[in-house]
Amino acid sequence: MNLQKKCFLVCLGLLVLSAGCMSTATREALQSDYDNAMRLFSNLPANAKECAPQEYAKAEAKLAHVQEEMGEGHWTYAGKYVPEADQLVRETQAAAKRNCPKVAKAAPPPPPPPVERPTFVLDGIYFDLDKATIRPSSERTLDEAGSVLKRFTSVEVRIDGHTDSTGSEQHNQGLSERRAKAVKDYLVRKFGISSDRIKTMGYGETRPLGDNKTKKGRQQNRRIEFIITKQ
Amino acid sequence: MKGWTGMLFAVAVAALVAGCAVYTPRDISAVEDLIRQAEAAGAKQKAPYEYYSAVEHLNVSKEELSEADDENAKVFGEKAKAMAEKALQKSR
Repeated sequence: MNLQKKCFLVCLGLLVLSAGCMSTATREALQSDYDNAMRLFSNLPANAKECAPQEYAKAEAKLAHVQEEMGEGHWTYAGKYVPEADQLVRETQAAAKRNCPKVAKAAPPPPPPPVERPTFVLDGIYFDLDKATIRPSSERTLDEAGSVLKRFTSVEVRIDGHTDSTGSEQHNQGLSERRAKAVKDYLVRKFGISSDRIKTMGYGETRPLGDNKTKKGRQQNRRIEFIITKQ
Repeated sequence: MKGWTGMLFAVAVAALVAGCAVYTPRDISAVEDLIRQAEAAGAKQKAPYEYYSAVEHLNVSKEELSEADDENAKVFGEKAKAMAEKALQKSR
């Protein structure tokens, strides 16, 4: 096989591999676009189904399709369908504006107060450089968190892992995910907390708290956060 | 004994098939048929939302089937069927 053919095959392989991947940031952006489209759809006039039936049905079916694909983790398909769904919702909105007689709308109820989701950085959790092994010196901090979770059995949390910008973006993403998972595993193993109550998420270097150019900033960025998702 | 073995095999196959979401082009054709009947009954005017909902859900079902996702094809196909039946009922 000549060199050109080899290169072509390697490139093709990489293309196939990368086609299945999507970064967390992209997935979050897609989820957010989908949420916006859903919000727009649910704010259509109450009679849109009658006065713009074709557009309404199209948008509704596409949104259901997107939801199904995202639910199954088919993010590549979702990436294709979310813009289509958004466009269809906007077309329905325009058609409803053209065709729907204006109905007197009751004043919308005041929005519910925003749910506060307490977030706190667990100070004192340290990992070996470039590893997801929790150092014994961090166990005290984790044990405090574990005791709280064991005492309040209805509390559910999400553990977010963050890194500084040392190393490649892809590497840091994986590292942050592994570190968040290591914390979860520790709590599950030591305190017998049900794994359903703890979700994990890795953000890599995407959400820095400090300046990555300084040592102090980098230290601030290498962190584990606990977010209480259910109290 | 031979009879028993055959029966057990048949039961096992039936159990396996029951667990699978098999959806075929024939199922799609059946829904298309229903949609055609609804259209002939005037559903585009009398039950437009139900009619177009059936059409759109069937489009998604076809797309899923072409991607070999039987399970989703079935979910959307059944929704299309339910809407086509509703459209037909409203138009009669």
